[in-house]
Amino acid sequence: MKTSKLSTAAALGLSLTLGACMDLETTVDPNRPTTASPNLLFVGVQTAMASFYGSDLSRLSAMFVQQAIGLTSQYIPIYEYGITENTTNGQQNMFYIQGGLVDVRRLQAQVRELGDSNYLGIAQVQEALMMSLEADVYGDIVYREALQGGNPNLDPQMQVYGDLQLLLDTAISNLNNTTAPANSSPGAADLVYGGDRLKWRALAYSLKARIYMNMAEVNPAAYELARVAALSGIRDPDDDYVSIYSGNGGEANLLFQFIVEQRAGQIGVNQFFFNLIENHPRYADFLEGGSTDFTYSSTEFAAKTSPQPIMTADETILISAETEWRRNQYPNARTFLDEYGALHGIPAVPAGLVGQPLLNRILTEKYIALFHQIQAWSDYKRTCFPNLVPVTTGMDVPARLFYDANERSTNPNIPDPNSQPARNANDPPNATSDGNAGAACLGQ
Amino acid sequence: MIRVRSWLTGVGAILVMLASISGVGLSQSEDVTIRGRVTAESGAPLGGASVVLEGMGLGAQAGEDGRFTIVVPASRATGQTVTIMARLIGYSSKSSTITLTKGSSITQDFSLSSNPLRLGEVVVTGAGTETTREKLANVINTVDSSLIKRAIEPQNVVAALSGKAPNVDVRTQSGEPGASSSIKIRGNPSLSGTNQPLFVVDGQPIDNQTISTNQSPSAYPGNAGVVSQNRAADINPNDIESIEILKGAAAAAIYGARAANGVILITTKKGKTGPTQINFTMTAGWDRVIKTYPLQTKYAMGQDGISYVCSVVNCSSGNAAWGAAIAPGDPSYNHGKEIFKTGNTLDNYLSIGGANDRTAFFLAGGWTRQDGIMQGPNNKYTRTSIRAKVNHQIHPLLNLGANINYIDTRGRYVQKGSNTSGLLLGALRTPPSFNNRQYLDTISGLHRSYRFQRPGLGSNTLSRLYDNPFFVLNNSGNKSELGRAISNVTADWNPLQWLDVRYSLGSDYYADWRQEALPQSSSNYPTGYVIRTDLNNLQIDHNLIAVGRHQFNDNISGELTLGQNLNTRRFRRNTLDGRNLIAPQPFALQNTVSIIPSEFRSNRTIESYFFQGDVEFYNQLFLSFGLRNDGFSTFGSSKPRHNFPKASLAWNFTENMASVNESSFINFGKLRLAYGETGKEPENAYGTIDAFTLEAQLGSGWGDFLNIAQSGQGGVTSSLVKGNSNLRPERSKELEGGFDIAFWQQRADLGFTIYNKRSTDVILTAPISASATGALYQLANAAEVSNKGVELTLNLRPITTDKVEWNVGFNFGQNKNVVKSLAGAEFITYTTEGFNGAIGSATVGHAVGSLRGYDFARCGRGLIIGGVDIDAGCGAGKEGALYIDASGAPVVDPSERVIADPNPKYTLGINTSVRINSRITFSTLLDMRRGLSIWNGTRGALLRFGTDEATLIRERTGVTMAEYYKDVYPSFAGPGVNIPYFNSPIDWQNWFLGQGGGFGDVTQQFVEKANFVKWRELSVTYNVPTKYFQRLGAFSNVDLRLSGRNLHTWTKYKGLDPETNLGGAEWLTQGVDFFGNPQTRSFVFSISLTR
Repeated sequence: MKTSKLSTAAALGLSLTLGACMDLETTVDPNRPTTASPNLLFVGVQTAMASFYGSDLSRLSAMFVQQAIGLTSQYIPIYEYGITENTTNGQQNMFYIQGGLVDVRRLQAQVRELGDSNYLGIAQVQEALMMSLEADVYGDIVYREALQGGNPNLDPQMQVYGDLQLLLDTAISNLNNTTAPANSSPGAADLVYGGDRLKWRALAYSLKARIYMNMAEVNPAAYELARVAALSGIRDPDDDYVSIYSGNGGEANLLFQFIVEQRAGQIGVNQFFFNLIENHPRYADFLEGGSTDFTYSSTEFAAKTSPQPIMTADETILISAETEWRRNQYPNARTFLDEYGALHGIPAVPAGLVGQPLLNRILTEKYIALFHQIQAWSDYKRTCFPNLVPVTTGMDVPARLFYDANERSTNPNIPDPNSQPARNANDPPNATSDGNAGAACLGQ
Repeated sequence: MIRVRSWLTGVGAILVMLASISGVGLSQSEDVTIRGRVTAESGAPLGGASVVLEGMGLGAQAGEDGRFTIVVPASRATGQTVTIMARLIGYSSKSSTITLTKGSSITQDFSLSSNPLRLGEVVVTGAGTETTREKLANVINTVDSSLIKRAIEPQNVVAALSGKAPNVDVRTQSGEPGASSSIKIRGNPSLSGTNQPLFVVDGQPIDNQTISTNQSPSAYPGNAGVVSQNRAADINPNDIESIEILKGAAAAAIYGARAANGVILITTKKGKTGPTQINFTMTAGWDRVIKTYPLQTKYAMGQDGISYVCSVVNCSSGNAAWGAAIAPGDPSYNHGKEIFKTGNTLDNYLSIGGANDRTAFFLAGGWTRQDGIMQGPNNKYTRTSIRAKVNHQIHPLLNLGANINYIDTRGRYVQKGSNTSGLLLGALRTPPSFNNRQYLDTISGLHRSYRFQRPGLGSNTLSRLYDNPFFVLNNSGNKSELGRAISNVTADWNPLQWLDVRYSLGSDYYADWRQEALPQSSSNYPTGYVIRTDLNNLQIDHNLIAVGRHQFNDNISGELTLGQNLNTRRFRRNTLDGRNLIAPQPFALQNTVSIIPSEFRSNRTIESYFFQGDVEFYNQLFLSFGLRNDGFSTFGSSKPRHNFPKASLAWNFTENMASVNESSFINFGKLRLAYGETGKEPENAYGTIDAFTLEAQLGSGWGDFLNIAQSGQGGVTSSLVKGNSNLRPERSKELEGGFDIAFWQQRADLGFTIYNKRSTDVILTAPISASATGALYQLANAAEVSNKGVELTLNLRPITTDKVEWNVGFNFGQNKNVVKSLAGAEFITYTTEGFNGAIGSATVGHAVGSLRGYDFARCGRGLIIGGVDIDAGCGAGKEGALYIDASGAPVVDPSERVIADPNPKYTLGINTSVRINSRITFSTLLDMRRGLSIWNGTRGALLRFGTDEATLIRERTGVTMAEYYKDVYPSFAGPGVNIPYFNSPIDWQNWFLGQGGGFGDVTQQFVEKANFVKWRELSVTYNVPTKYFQRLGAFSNVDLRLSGRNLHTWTKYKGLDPETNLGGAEWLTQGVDFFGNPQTRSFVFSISLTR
C-alpha cells in the first residue's frame, strides 16, 4: 500500500506542476496591434474623413435640400423629415472615435514629439475638417473638453467655429514652417495630396472660408473674412480635396456602394434637382438618363472609383463670387462666377446681371456644384436658397440632426431630443429666400 | 427512387447480418441458467430492466415481456452465493441472493415497486462527482434516453429538450436542415454572449457556439446569410443515455466561472452487463411547413390602383402590390406556398454493446440525412457519427476507459432573413400577379425578379433589387463541411479502500469548412461574392479528482473530493472574402476580383482547484459544501484568481417517521436548501488589453463601408472598445429552496423549488461617451441582473395495472428577469441584433433582450410633440390610449422605448403516456409558453408591400384609425378619434407606405403577444410480439414507432411561428421576426430491432 500512496502523491504532484506551467496572464492580443506609427494613423484618419463626408450625412443632406429623394424603406420617413436620435446610426459619435478626433490627436502628439511642423499642420487641418462638419450638422458640440474623460460640456457652435479658425491659422503657420527640425509628410500614404504641404495649406484656407460662410448668417462681417481666405484657397480643380477609391472591396465610392450594392432603389435623384439641371452643362457630371429615367451618373459621379468631393476649387471660387456680391462688387462677383463657369463649359454671365438675379445665379451654381455635399445643406440653412417647398406640409426642412442616442445616454450634458433646439446657433430662420427678390422663405 | 431502393437494400443487409449472428452462442450442460421475469408491482412486465450478477460482470436486459436469461459458464460457477439485482429507471432496484451450482437452472422473478422521485439512482453532479438522488439538495432535471428518443428530433439534441423541464427555454430557429436551437436556463443572468449553458459530454466540456460564415461587421452576423448550427447538434441523440440539467448555482458551482448559465451534462450510452446487444434503428420522417404566410392573391403589382407594366428592358420602378385587381382569368400566384415541398429525413443507427466483469464496450454508428422543405437541391443536412466507448479493468485497482466520437456533418443552405437575396424576403414581397417560377428571362436567360422583370443582355451584374426566390433556391454556393472529434481517456484508480482517484484527459476538436456565395445579379451584391471561412476549435480538458470516504460511526459518514481542472480553448477563424466574380462560375476564390482576408484567434487557459465535502447524518440529513478557485487568462492581471463557494442541505424528513412507508399516503419527503455562486468569464478573450484595430469598417449602418487600408496604404484606428485590465468574472449568487414529496401510495410525486439569483459584476460592454473617451464602449464589471422564479414538477401515475399504465407529468416554470442596473446607463443595445426600431437591448427595469423601438404618441406619457401637448389633447383619464390628431391619424413619438419582452413569463410542459398490455405505448407532449412578445417585422414589411392578406382591408372605406388599430391599442383619444381616415384604397396604400407600414418609424404597432401551446410530440410505439418475427429468430425485440412532431400550434401570433428568431442561437436577443424561414411539422416512422 505504501507504493500506492507514493504514486498517488506523485500523480498529484505532477498535476500541480502541470498547473504551474500554465500562464494565465494575457498580455498580447494576437488579433490587434498595440502601437501605431504616424502614417498608419494618418491613413485611418483620411479614410474616416471619407466616411464622414461621403456616407450617411451626405445622403441625408442631399435629401433635405431635395437633390435626392427617399424612394423606399426607411428612407421614405427620413425624406419626410421623420428624424430621431437614431436616424444616422451613430454618425455623430464617429467624429470622436476610430479615425476621428481621438486618432488625429494621437497623430498630432506623435509628430509634435518628432518636431515635424508640416505633418502637424496637416493633422491640424484634418482636425478642423472633421470638427467643423460636426458643428455644421449638430451645432453645439463637445470640443474644448473632448477626450479628457468625465462628462464634457457642449461648446457653443460659434465658439467652436472660432476655435477652428485659430486652429487653422496655427496649421497654416506650421505648414509654412520649412525650417522645423524634422519636417516630413505622409507622402504616398496621403492618397489625395501625396503629403504636399502647399496643397494642404490651400485646403486650410478654403476651409477657413467655408467656416466663415457658415458663421455669416449671424455675423455678416464673416463674409469679408471668407472672401480674403478664399483667395488663398483651392483655385484649381486638380487640387480638390476628394476621397480616392480603388474600387476594390471596402475601397469603393460610398454612394456607389449604397445605391448599387447595398440599398439599390432606396434613394434616387430628386425631380427638383433634375428639373434644375436638365439643360445645364454640368448635367453629365452628375446625372445620366432622360426625363423618365434620370439617375446618378454611373460613370462620372457614382462609379465605383468616382472620387467623393470634400473641399473643391468650385466651392472656393463660388465663395469668392458670393462674398464679392455681399460687398456689392457685382463685376468682381461676375468675374469669379465666370472663372467657375470656364471650368465647366458654362457660358459667361451677361454683363448687366446685378442684384438678386446675380445672387440667384451664384447660389444656383453653388447648389449644383455641391451636389450631394453636406455644405449644400449648410448653404441652404444660411440663405434659404433654393426656396424649397417642404415635402411634409407643416414642417420645416430639417436644420440639424439630434445628438446620437449613445452620446446622450452616456453624457448627462447632452440634452434629451425633446429639449434639443430645432436650429443651430448659426442658423436663425430666414424670413426670405436669398436671390429670390424678397420672396418669403418656405422651408424655415 | 434510387434513394429508396438503396436504403431498403441497407435495411435488408442489416437484417441478414443480425440473423446470421443468431446462430452463435450455444449453451453447455454444465452452465448455470438463471431465468426470470421482471414486473412492476401491478404485474406489468418491465422491458429494458437490467439484471446483473453483482461482481461477476454477467447480466441481461429484460425483453419487452419482462423475461431475462443469464447463463453463467460452468467454469465460473463454483457453488458460490452471489447477489442478483434487477434495476430500471423509475423503479426501486431489488436484489436477492442465489447460489450458483454447476448445471443448475434457477428461476428468479423480480417485482419492482415504482420509485417516484428516482431515489437511490446515481446522478452525475459534474466534474467527476456523483451522488444519489435522495441526497441532492438542488434541482437537477434528468432527461433520459427514452424521452430523447421520443422527441424524434434526430438533428439537434438541444431541440429535443424543449418542454422537458421547467424554466428551460428552448427555441428552434426554423425547420430548415441545420438550423440552430438556443437554450436558456432560468432566464438571462448575463448581458453578453448568448446566455446558453455549458455543455459537458462524459466529463469533457464541448463547444456549442453558433457562428455565421460571414462575420463581416457590416453583414450583421445572424441577420442575413444562412442558418448556422449550434455545435452541440453534432452529438447524435441516439448515443445519449441521459442528460442532467444543472440549473442553480449550487448545482453548477463545481464548474465555477463557466457555469453562470447552468450546465448540461450529457452521459452517453455504455455497454451493459450481459451478452452483446445489437440494436438497429431506422427512422424515416416527412417534414412539411406548418404554416405558410397568409398573402393576398387579388391585387396586382402597381401603385394607386394602377397596375405596373414593365415595358422596357431593365425596367425597375415598381415594388409593391398596390395595383388594380387582377382580372378574372389572369394568373395569380401564392408566393408563400410555391417555394416549399415535403422534406424528408432518414436516420439510421446501429449500436453494439456489452460488458463482462472486466470490460465494457459500446460501438455505434449513426447516419442522418435531411432533405429540407424548400424547393430545389440546396437545403440538405447530413450527419455521420461513430462512437466507441470502452472500459477495461487492467488491474483490480485500476480501470481505464476511452471514449471516442467522430462526427462529420455537411450541409447546403439557402439565403435567409433580412437580406435582399434571402428566400422569404423576395418571395413574400412579390405581388401575386408576377410569376416567380419563371426565374430566368426567356430572352437573355438571366435572373429576373418582380422588381427587375426584363433583364437585358449584359445585365448580369445589375441588382434585381430583390432576388427571385427560385433564383435563391438554385444558388448552390452556401455550404459547410465539418469534421469533429470529441474524445477522452479516463483512469479510475482505487489505491486504498477509502480513496478513489479519477483522471480524465480529453479534447474536442473541429474543423469547419464554410462557404457562402452569391452569384452575379444577386440583389445583395450584384457582382457576386465568395466568402470562405475556416473555423477551427480545440478544447483540451484535464480533470483530476480524488475522493476520500470515511464512516465516522453508524450514523455519520463523509466524503471529501479534491480536484484540479486545467483547460485550454483555442479558436481560430480565417475568412477570405472574395468580392466580384470574374466569370459567373465557379464559386471559388480565384474567380473573384479582390479578396479581403481576415483572421481571428483566441486562446484561453484555465487553472482551477476545487474541493467538495459531503456529510451524511443519520441517513436523513445531507450536508454538502464546496469551493472552486478559478484562474482564467481572461481575467484582468490585477486579480487573476477568484473563488466560487457553495453549500447545501437536504433533509429527508420522512426517514424516521414510523407512519411513512411505501403504502401510506405520504411516502417520502425531502426539504432542501442550497446556496451557490457561479461565474462567467469575460466573453472577449482579450478584453483586458487596449489596442488598435486593423479591421474597423467605417461607414454607416446601411452597409456602405470603407476598410481602413485604402489603395494599398495600410492604416490603423483606435478600437471601438477600450480595454480594462481590472476585468473580473461575472458572479451569480443563487439561493434556492424547495421540497420533494412522493404521495398517494407512490402514485404521485411533487417537486417545488423557489430561487433567487442575483448576478453582480455583470460584464457590460458599457457605452461610454465617445466625446469624452474616443471609444464607444468599455468592458466593465458594472451591471446587475436578477432572476427569480419558481419551478414545479408533478408526476402522476393514476393507473398502474398489469394491463394499463398511465402517467401524466407537468412541469411548470416561472422566471422574472430584470436588469437592475447598468452602471448608470439607462440601456445598452445589441447593435447587431435586430433593426433600428426593433433592436435587442438590456434596459434597466426590463428583462435582458427586450426590444427597443418607437411607438405612436400615447396619452399619459407627458409628451409634447411638434409643440402639441398630447396629454391635453387626449383629455383626462385616457392613460395608454392612442392619440389621434385632428387629421384622424396618430402621431409618431420620437422617443425610443422598450416595445417587447421576448422572454416567456411561464413555461409549462405536459406529458402523458399510456401503455397498454405492455405492447402499445401512446405518449404525447404539450409545450406551452406564455407572456412573451415578438416584433413581427415580416408583417410590417408585407403591409407596406401590399402583399399581406391583411391589406385586403384596402377595399373598405370610412374606417377610422381607432377601428383599424383596435387589436393593437387598448383605447383611443384625441381630437380626431372619430374622423374616418381611410376613405379609398389609396388612403390605405399611403398609410402602409408611410407610418402604418414596416418601413415607417413605429415598430410598436407590429409587436404581438406570442403565447403559444405546441403539441410537440405524439408517438405510438408497438412492441411486436415475438411470434410475428420468430422466423427471423435473431431478434429479441422489435419496436415500431409512429410519431408526429409539432402537430399543432395554438397561438394568436400572426406570423409564421412564435418560436422564430432571425438570429437563431447566434443572438442573445430573441423574438425578432423578419423573413425567417418557417418551422416544420414532421411525421416519423421508426423501426428498432434488438438482438
